[in-house]
Amino acid sequence: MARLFDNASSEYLEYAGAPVTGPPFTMSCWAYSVEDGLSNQHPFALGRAATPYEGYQISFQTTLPNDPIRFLAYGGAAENFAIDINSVWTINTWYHLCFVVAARDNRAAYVNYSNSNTDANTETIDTLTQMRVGARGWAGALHYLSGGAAEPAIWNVALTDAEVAILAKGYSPLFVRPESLVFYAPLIQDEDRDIVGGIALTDYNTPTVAAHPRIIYPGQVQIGITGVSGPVHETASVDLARIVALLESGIASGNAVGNLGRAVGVAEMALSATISSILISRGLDIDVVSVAALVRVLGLSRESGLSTEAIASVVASYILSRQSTAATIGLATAGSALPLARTDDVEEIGQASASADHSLSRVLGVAEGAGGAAQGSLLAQRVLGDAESGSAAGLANVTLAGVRDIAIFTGQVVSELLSLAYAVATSQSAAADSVASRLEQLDLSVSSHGQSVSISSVSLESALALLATTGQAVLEALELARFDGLSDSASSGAASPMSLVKGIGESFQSAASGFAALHLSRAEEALLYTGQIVNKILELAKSGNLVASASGIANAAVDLDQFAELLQSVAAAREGSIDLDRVDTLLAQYYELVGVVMRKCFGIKVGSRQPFDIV
Amino acid sequence: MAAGDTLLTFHPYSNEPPAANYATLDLRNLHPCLDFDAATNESGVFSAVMPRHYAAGGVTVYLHYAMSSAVADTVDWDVAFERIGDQQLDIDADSFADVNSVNDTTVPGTSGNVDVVSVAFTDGADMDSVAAGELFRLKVTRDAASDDAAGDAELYAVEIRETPA
Repeated sequence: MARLFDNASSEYLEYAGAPVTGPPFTMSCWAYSVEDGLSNQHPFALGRAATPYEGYQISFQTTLPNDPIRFLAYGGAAENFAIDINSVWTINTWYHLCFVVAARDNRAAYVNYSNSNTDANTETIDTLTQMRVGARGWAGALHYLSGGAAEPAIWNVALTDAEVAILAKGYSPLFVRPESLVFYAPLIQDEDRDIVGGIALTDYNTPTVAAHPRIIYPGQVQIGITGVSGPVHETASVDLARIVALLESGIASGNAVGNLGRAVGVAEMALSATISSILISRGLDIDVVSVAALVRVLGLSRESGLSTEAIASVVASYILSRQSTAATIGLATAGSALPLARTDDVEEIGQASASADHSLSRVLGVAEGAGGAAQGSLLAQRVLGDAESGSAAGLANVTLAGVRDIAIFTGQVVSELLSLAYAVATSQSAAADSVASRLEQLDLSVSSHGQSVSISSVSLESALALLATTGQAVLEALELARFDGLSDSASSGAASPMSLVKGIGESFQSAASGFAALHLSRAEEALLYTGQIVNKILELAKSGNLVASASGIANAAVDLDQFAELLQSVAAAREGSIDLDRVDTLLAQYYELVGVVMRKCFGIKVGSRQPFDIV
Repeated sequence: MAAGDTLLTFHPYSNEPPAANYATLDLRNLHPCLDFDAATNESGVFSAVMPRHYAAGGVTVYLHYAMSSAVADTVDWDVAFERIGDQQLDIDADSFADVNSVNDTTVPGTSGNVDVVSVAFTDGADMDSVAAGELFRLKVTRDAASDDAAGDAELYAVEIRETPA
């Protein structure tokens, strides 16, 4: 089905631009007229939208002698150069029309190839800015075609005689100098797309369709046919890209061009066929876009746009041999098959997904095959061993990267708890401004917490800083809770610091906030394991505000067994965004480390057994 | 490969239209097809080399078609082979064997549904004696003069299959 235009309805197609701006070029189309009494019908034209009105156009003429088909180069009144092919057309008959503009003084016109003529007058037509099918190429009276048009095409070269002959035989423009084909719209049915240059033709006044002319297209066994200018495959990347474009318009057959399309896609992404295997080798530097393209090539996803997480979830199924690759991926889905060989990888990756129990075990440095927290942490053992054997220098040799991992994780946990605390605070009557102000005043440095660290190890100091950070964050959460109007219960229950904590916890349990309150009460557990609550309790005890007998408390051993009752009284909250079972496991091990640190650094003895066991 | 195996498939863009009364290229929801007129017998022609694994068991030609608009009445198809072979034909003139037909097929009740009809050829003269490894042409014609379904018949694919045993 070709395009059918009706002059009476002013129907035409237009592109507000031009595939070529001037010579050399060739324009070709198939066209017929249905009205032999209507002159100046334009099936195809290139021109200028604005003054001066100039351009190149092909037209059926009926008022000129011999009713020619006219090929006009018009550069103004003084440059009105026409090539007339006389007495060649009748209505309702398809004609191949080709206008070869080799230079400003070298033009040739063909009707069905065998009827041709040339012109050598010099024109100075300005830059072309407009293209039309079914109408004249410039402003003013458009002189529409009443008839059919199909297969308009433009090359940015002057085709040879022999090439025009091929077109006139009915071969698609795709067979002729495809590397120079810059515009081609077969105009099948109402599909007005340019399948090589991507130009979008706009239709005006709804042209209809008519039977298509007799055209031979590249079939699935014909790709690679040798053109006049040489083998098509010599410019394979361009030609294949165009043939892939054909696939989009449904012209090419499925299998062969589909495979070519995939090959082009892979080439464009600079991935070789080797890469299309599922194993991502170490030597590759693949960014997210390329991975997404690779996933498409592998057929692993039917979506064209893949999120980073989706890419990661696919890639994470394969062996990632490079740390940097894991880091680049960002949020990795740590399934059990994912061997993250180094804890540093996890650190760089950041927050592991909730289901990555195994990965968290590795993060902690648990020995391979370790089933649970009871087996302990290799890292913890190392720390214990080093701490017991060494001086400050020995401790300095301890790499607490794993501790940092834990700290980061627990820090994230408590940060979220802090957010929940804030939400609880703002939901109650407490002034939101003051709460916000308190949050902004969070001081995360070790020194502001009042602890002086004499250990020279930078890594240990950093770990302590992190401990302080997480601890302080939770402390502030508690402070906010107290600030929130719970001081009555805090002060009234002050038989012991434990009662204070318990009172706060119970108050939150009974709060109407419910879910958020439960999580905040769990923050107390986090404090327990950071050891900071111990210090806080000691401070409170020293202040004498809450404890009847405060003296000597500073050196007292804090038996955290009493906290077990509190913890077990808290509902086992399995809901929410935090898997508290894992928190418990982590914190249990963290507790081990903190216990050592507290004992070695601050002389504070803490209970040795795990304070609770969630069932 | 043997009886029952697909030998060749042709798609609309493989058409080598005859000089006159040719089926015209069309798109339906971006599916390429060849339109065969309802008033005039129009043809599509496809050329290929008979695969080497053709075992001389005869072939069955399957036509995958739909109707542009008709949901009633019947459609008739004619299919013919032309052997080119190794110095078997002066190709300056057409020489198709007699057609085999599949006639009076009631068109699908939904115009967008693609129906598949088949026409069998025995090995030998019935298919112009095309043998394995020989170049040949296949002509598919809608016998519009005989059928009565309205509007164009759209051909989407042609399959040549070695006739099942």
